[in-house]
Amino acid sequence: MASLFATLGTAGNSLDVLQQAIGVVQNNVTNATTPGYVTQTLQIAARPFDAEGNLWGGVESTGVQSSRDQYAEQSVWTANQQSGYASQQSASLNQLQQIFDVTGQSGIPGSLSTLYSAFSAWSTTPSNATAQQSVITAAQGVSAAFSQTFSQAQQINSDNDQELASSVSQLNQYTSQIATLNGEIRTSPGNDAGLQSQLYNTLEEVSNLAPVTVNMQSDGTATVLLGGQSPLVQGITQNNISLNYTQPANPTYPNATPSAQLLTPQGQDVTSLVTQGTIGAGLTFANTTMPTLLGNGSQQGSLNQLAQGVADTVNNLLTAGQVSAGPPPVSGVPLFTYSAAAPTGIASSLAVSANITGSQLAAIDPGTGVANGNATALANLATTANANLNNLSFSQYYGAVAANVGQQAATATSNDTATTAALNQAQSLRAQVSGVSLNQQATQLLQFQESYQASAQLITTINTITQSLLTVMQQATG
Amino acid sequence: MLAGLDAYTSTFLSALNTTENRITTANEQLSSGYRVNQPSDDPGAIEAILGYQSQIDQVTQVQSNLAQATTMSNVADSALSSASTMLNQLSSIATEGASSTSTATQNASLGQQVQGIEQQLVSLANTSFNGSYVFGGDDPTTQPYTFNWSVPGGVVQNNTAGVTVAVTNSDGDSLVIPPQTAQQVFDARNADGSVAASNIFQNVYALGQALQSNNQAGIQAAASSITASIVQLGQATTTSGVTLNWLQQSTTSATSKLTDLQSQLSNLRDADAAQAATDLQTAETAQQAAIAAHGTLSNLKSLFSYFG
Repeated sequence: MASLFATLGTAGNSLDVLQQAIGVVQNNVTNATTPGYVTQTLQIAARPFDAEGNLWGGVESTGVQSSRDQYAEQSVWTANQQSGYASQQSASLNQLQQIFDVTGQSGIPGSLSTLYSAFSAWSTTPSNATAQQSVITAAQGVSAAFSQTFSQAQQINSDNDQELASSVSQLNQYTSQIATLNGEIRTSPGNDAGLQSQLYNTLEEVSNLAPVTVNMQSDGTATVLLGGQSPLVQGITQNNISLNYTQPANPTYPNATPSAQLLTPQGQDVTSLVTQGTIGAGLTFANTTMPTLLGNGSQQGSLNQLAQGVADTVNNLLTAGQVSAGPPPVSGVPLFTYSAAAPTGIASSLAVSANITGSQLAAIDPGTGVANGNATALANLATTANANLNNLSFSQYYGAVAANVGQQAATATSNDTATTAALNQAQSLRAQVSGVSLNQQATQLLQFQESYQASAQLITTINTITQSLLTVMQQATG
Repeated sequence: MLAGLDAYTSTFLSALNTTENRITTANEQLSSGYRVNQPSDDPGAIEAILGYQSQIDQVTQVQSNLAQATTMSNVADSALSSASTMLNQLSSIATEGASSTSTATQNASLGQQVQGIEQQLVSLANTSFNGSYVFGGDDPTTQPYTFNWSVPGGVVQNNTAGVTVAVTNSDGDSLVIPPQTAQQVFDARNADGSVAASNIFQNVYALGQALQSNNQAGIQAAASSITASIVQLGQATTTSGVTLNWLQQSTTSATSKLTDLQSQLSNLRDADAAQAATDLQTAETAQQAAIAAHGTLSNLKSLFSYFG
């Protein structure tokens, strides 16, 4: 009789364990699409059984086990950092390359071509007022094209700065969430799958923004290091990263656009640690890509170099030439003006000299006395190599700048495709290892249901036996 | 529903994105006609494309310059041809005036004719086109001569400019156009600035004066000088012919160069329409297949669907 009651107790206990197991399945199914969630499995074990020794076995729960795989998570984070960088780079560079004309019929190359043609037409009729005016109009077109391209590039730079600020702010929000989650994980009993899923989901978001190293601590909290060195989160302590703009020490061009840098709360510059993620891409774009065009503290920028090259070359020829051989000879005046005090803004400040008239344009080459010698030299600028521009003509120099941006954009697009594929693969692998399989959960549910029904039936049977026994005993004693 | 469907969805979306990029590229090529629509399409070709386009613009402008120079040179050549007719007419008048049967009255009348012809020659020297004097040299806005029969030579010179304005062709060669000034054609001078024996204005004026004063010796001397002037005009006409010939050759050369450059640019920049159309078709088919496949994948049910 005692063993029957023991068996009844064991069967009843197994119902509790099976209820727990069904509860775990329920949680898995309902969180199948929850970001960061991984399959949880109730670990069950057989209890000691020895019928002769009066040990009646049964089943017991030994805790819930998570299927999370640190290697798979790490692979996703690494791929996400690279994908974040490539995706942001690709977007920025593809936007940037749109400001470069590749037809030669509009923008800077189109306006330069129009200017050469105007010089050429003027050279055949140097004293023709219409031809002279065409030169001035074409020069205005050149200054407008430079100004427009410079302004478009500045807008793209400004958009990048805003995105960078937004990404840094997001990073700080995420690291703050991680610190909060760390606190909750420390105080929560056991391995809370809900908190863990929130933590890992946030870590994945962080990895898209910046290169981080995550060290999981024994208490379940995550320590997040920026670039493997600078702590962003340690336990419940979070370090906010701030975005700052500064000029390098002793800049060659002090009025240039300052460089972006990331600072820790202690003021330590951690910019060099951020080489991946969307923030890494934003920093590269702001500090490397755009300065080659617009300039920074240490370089003038190719757009400004080209604008100055055009203005200086044209002006030097015109001022060395003569409007009239005289006597007395009358020298020409400069066609272009720009702000020499701001070398990194010349593409923007380039303009046609105020009040210049066509009759002030010097067509005469005083060296040879040829009446259109200077005008012909100006028309020949289309193919003249410039020592200040790597011995390239203006059009060639522009072409080289556009090709450089185009090459970067092409590489970035290709990298974006490759890293997105790598990220998808890593996520897929992680899903295979630790994602919730509804088929598997359905099978488990069926198994647990069968076991539950069997255990319940066992209890009914034991109950019947016990009732029978009690009836026999009542008859015997009655 | 299968394990890790989100990961599959990400893969599907990125593949769909790649296909859509291919469709965009093919569409862009078909609508613009260009293979290179942005720098990243072929960074290595950008410099060459811009270089060809710049050269095309230059050669097009050279064509325009040559066309303008040709028109102006034709106007000048036509003026020289008219002058030649007039000089031959003067030669006949001189012969007629030198004849023993010509009376003083007749000669005076002939002298009036010569004066009129001198005036016409001055008009020819002042021939203008589009507001420029074709024999104005480097100062085409100043009228070269004014007719004035009361001064020696019958003309007043207003423009002493030389002629140096050269037109450059697409091969980089240049030629001074128009090649000669009114002074060089009609008012030839010796190196020391004195009147040359072939000076047209002077010789016509001398003939006119001799006829009007019925100076037989003067008429005969002038008749001989007119012959020298005819030779002088012949040389000017030859020079003009050389110029027109150079302009014609240069125009032919520029046209050929332009065709060549356009062909090179086209090879480098233009889209292969047939290839782009095939690419578009392929990418669209791939896109539809991918969407259909994903639709099928989304319809897959898990075991839960079969629970009673």
